[in-house]
Order: sequence, then C-alpha cells, then structure tokens
Amino acid sequence: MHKNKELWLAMICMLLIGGLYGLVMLWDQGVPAASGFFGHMVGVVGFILMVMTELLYSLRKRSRTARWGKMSDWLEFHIFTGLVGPYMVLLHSSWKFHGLAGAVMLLTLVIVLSGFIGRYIYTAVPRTVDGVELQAEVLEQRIKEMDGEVKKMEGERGAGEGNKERLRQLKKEQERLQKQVGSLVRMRRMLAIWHMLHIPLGMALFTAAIVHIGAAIYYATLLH
Amino acid sequence: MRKRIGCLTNSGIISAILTLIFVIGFVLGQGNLMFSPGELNSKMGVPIGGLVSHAEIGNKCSKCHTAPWESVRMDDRCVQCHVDIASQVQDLSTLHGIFFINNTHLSCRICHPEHGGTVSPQTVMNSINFPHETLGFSLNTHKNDLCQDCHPSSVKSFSQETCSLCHQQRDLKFMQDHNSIFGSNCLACHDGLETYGKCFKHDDFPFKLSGKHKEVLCVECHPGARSKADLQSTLQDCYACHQKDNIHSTGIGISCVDCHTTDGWKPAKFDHNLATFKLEGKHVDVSCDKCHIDGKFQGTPLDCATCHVKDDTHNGSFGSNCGDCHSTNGWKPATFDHSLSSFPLTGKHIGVPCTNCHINNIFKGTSDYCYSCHARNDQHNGQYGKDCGACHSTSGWLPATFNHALSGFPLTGAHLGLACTRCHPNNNFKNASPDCASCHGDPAWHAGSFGTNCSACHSTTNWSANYNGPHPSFGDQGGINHGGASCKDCHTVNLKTATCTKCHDSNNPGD
Repeated sequence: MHKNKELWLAMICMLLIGGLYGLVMLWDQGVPAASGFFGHMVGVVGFILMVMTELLYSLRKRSRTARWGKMSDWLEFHIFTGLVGPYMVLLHSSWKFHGLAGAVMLLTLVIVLSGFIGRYIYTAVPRTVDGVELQAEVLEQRIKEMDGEVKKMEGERGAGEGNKERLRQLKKEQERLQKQVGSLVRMRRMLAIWHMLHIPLGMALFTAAIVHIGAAIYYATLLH
Repeated sequence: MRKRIGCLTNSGIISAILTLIFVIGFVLGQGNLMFSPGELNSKMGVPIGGLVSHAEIGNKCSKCHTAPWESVRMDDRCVQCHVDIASQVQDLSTLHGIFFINNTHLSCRICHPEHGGTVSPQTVMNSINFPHETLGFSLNTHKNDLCQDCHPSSVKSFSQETCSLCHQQRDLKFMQDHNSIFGSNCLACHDGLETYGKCFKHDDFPFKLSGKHKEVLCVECHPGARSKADLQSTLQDCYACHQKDNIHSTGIGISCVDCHTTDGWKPAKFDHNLATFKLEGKHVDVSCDKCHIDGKFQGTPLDCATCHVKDDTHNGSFGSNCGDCHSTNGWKPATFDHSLSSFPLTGKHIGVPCTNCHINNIFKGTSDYCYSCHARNDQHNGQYGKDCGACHSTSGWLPATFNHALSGFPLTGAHLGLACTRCHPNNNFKNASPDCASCHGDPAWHAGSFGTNCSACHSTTNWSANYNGPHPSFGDQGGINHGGASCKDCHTVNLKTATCTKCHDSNNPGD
C-alpha cells in the first residue's frame, strides 16, 4: 500500500464522502440539489481542491528558493486532490449535466482521465529517488563507464566464477540503462505532448468553472 | 527568464481566452440558456402575457430572475404574469392568501420549482417543502404520511373524520373515550406539534399541576371543553372545582389554597392570626371542631363564655368575659383586678386566698362589710359595730385609730396618751362609765368632800385644782384664796382639818 498510497488515500476519502452523500440522500429522501446546502458545500470544497491541485503543484515546481517537501510528495498531493476534488464536483452536480455546468463536468472528467495518462507517462520517465528526471547524458556517461568495466573484465579471461557473475550483472545493468535512455527520450516527448493537452484543458476548465460559479451566484445564491 | 506558473503557458492562456470567447458567443447567440440548470416546463396552459409555457422563455433568464441589486423579487416577476395569484395573495379565503399573509418569507418556488425538465410537475406539494404549518396544522408528527393519506379526494379539501378513522385504527378505545369527552373537532386543539397531545406540559401554562391534581383526568377540571380556548378559559380558582368539597358550611372564603395544599385536604394549615380571634396558649392545640361547631367558622362568637360556660366555676358571677382574669395559658393563675370591684384589696387583704372571703365560690354579692369576715376577730364583742374600718386599717388590727370624740367622752390632756385598757379593762368599751370616779379614786386628802365629779375642780391637763366653791371666810382676808394661799397651805392633812400655823403663829385668828 505504500506504493501508490495517494491512490489508496483518495479512494478511502471518496468512499467516506460517498457515505456521507448517501446519508444526506436518506435524510432528504432524494438526491441533494446542487443549490442546496450540501450540494453547494461539496461543490465549493471540490473546486478548492481542484484549484489546489494545479496551483500548489505548479508553485512548488517553479520554486527555486523554497523547499517545501519533496517533489514526489507534492505529486502525490496533486494526484490526491486531483481525484477527490473532481469527485466532489461530480456529487455537487446532482447528476444533471445541463448547459455550462455540464460542460464543466465534462471537462473535469477529461482532465482526470488525462491525469491518469499523464501519471503513467510520468512514472515511465526515469527519475532519481527524489523524483528528479534523470538526464540522458548522465545515463550515457554511466553506460560508457560500464562499457569500460565490461571490456576490462572480458579481457581478464581465466578469472574466477565470482568475476563471471559480476560481469553478467554488469551487462544486465548496462542493458537496463540503455533501455532507460531510449525510454527517457520517448517518454519525455510523450510527456511534452501530454502537457500540451493537459494544461490548455485545465485552463479551459477553470475558465468555464469560474463563469459557472459567477452565474450560479448571480442566478441562484443571490436570488431573492 | 523565470518560468511562469505551469498553467499560464501560452497554450493555457490561449485556451482560457478561447473558452471565454466561446461562452460569450454562446450567450449572445443563444441567450443565457447555457446557465440553465435544467429545462423549463413546456406544458402548455392558458396563455398569459403571450406565453403558454415557461419553456418559451427558457433562454431569457431575466424574465424571472432578478439581479441581486434589484429590489424587485422573483415572486414579483411571477405575479407580473400570474395576475390571478397576485389578487389571491391578498385574499385570506384562498390558499395563497393563507400562505403569504402570515408567512412573508415564503416564495413561489418553494411549491412551484422549475428547471426540472419539460414535463416536470409545476406544483410539488410533498410534505417536505410544503409549508403546511401556515394552514394551522404542522406536519411535524405526520412527516411519513402522504398527502392523500389525509386528503384522499383533493388536497384542497379536508374532513376531520379522516383523523378519527386513522387514529381509531391505532387505539379505538382511546379515540372513543376522547371523542366522547372532547368532541370530534380535532383541529380545535391539535396543531400537529402535539402541543395539546403527547408534548403537552401543563406547567407551560399559568396553572401548574401539583400533588393530587396530577392524578386527575383532564375532563374533571375541563368538563365540556371543545377547543383550546375552552381549555384556556377554565377558571383557575379553587372553588370552581371544589365547591362540592367545601365542608365549611357557612364558608371561610373560597380560596381553599389559603389553608389546604394539593397533596390533600388534610392536614390543613389555617393561620388563625389572620382571623379576628388569635390563637394563643392552650387554644393553639385545640382541634378546630371544638370551637367551630358543625363546621361553622365565620360568625363563631368570640366571647369566652360560648365555649367555656361549662368551665365557669364562678357560676356566672364574674360575667362571661373569662379573659378579664384568666389567660389562654390556663385557668390558673388568675389575675383578677379586685380594684375593679366595689371592694379594692389593700394591705393584708391582698394576699388572702379568694376562698377565704368568697365562700363556696360566691363572688358577686359577697358582703363588703368587715364584720362579714372579721366577726370572729372582734375583740370588742360587737361594741363598736360591724364597721371595723372605722378604727382599723387593712394593714393590721394595730394600730387602731379610734376617734374618742365620737364617743361621749372626748379624750383630752393626760387622757390622750393612755392605753385603751387603762380605762377599758376587759375590753369593755361601750359600757365604760364616763364618771371620773370610775377611774380616779377620791384622794384621802379630800375624800368624800367634793363628790365624784373631779372635773369640777380639776382638768385633764393636771391635778391642780381650781376651787371656787363655798368656803368659810376670814373676814376681810377672804375665804378660799386667803392671802394667796393654796389649799394645802391650810389643809395640811386633809380638807376636814385646817391649820393656820404655816403662815401664822397660831390657829387663833384673834391672836
């Protein structure tokens, strides 16, 4: 569970929120309306989580002076809020997808799916333990070094069994690094392409969401 | 150059702008339809304002929705088209009138929601959002019931028989009893909040139930009550219910609570100090019926004799106001002020027991003559009458103060200081002789010469004589006052003999 713990946490959270939603449904004897107290509250909290999803992660990535935790932790936070926030927005919708609100919901779902894809691509990019992308030059340098070692060991014919085992492992590691180099280039290209879709989608989502919030306040919240 | 925040890439900004353009374009082209949370009802009805359904203005939000800064409300927009409702709102005989006149916070959309779809009901009067309490009956205890459970034919009509029919199924016996006592106009008392049902608390009202009142059935205090007004108008004074219990026949007022508590009639706690007759001493422990015969309280005589005539050992001789002499602490000691009688007690009379003078408890009519008590003390044997007080005081027999002048023999001179017994031996007073000779014997000097009337010559002051009676004369020398001589100058032995030799040389006057 330690691996992908943000997914597990998000799932537990969603289950709990879902349970609460169910209780409210029983109490109100129906689906909580989007304009009702619970509907409003879950929509507001969900939107805040979604804003935090984008804003805080971006700020952390761009910060050069502040070191507020590891990047990998912030990514996990980004994924967690990126799942729970949209889930709450979905509950807020009261399962009605008319007009702009429906479009916002659709964009939210697309963004979440996009996020899943992006996460896959992201983890495919070789990184250090701290989550920093490995540079191709570093990998190639390492491969070169290992090449030298291999040649040296191969030249030492008549060496013991221990040396043979060491040679085998070295070759295996070298193979892995070469794959990583190939993968690094490929995945980086895919991640860049993915960013080109994910970010504009996100901006469109937030723009539409803000317009929706403004309209809701105007037409519903402040309605008298 | 420092990188911008991730979302603010060129593509991100462009995307946001395009989204905005799209939204604005849609609004300009299609109206505010994109902001609608659901389609409006498209059921066609009577044309109003040129429209037959709400769906026709689905893209014109401002037809119904007012801006937050406007004073006009959404309900005002409703009645701009639905003018018939506008007039109903002012009419209490209509459903809308009842709703709005007493509940200004109500809004049309509570019962008439929209954006529920083209075929959504235009009126949703389920028990959750329908303000049933504005009609005088809350659905607080009927939340789980459907409208048709109470309004089987139409929600616009209601028969109270419905209440009985349903509640009889729950408890037939109770409903039969309840209806027979309080009638069948359920709404007269029941408001759906159980104010007069299981949530009823008598202590919320001015008359608090306590003691035995808690065990009494409602109908016993509220007979014939058929509405809340009847219940609340029930008289709260004790007598309204307890007149039949009043055993104080002539009555001591009608405020039972002055003496009794709700725990029971007994024990009663009457503060007798509130009455004219204050209970003190032994009166405190006497039971009420000893003085108040046959339950009569007001008008009970206050005089002692009414109760104590049987205790009067004076046989009425002192009147009927026992309190003049006796206190409520007991008959004894009595404090009779003898000075109020015709015989004030003074001196030694004060300490004398009453019975010494008042024989057989006879007080009135007791003789106030000294002799009636002191006859046995009379040492004068009745010689001075029966009025001992003429000479004696109540301080004692002695000293006595007899005025001898009242007798035939006034005391003067040397007689004054004499003890009575000097002249009255053997206490013989009345028959004592006034003659001088009875006390004073004839002195030998002139024995038999002058008789027994000493006062002829002597006074009571001293024995010096002052004789001016017959006496032989001596010529020009006179007789009795011969040359200034006293009797004894010549009569040296006695009056029968005389001698001149005291002054003369011989007894012969010729010498």
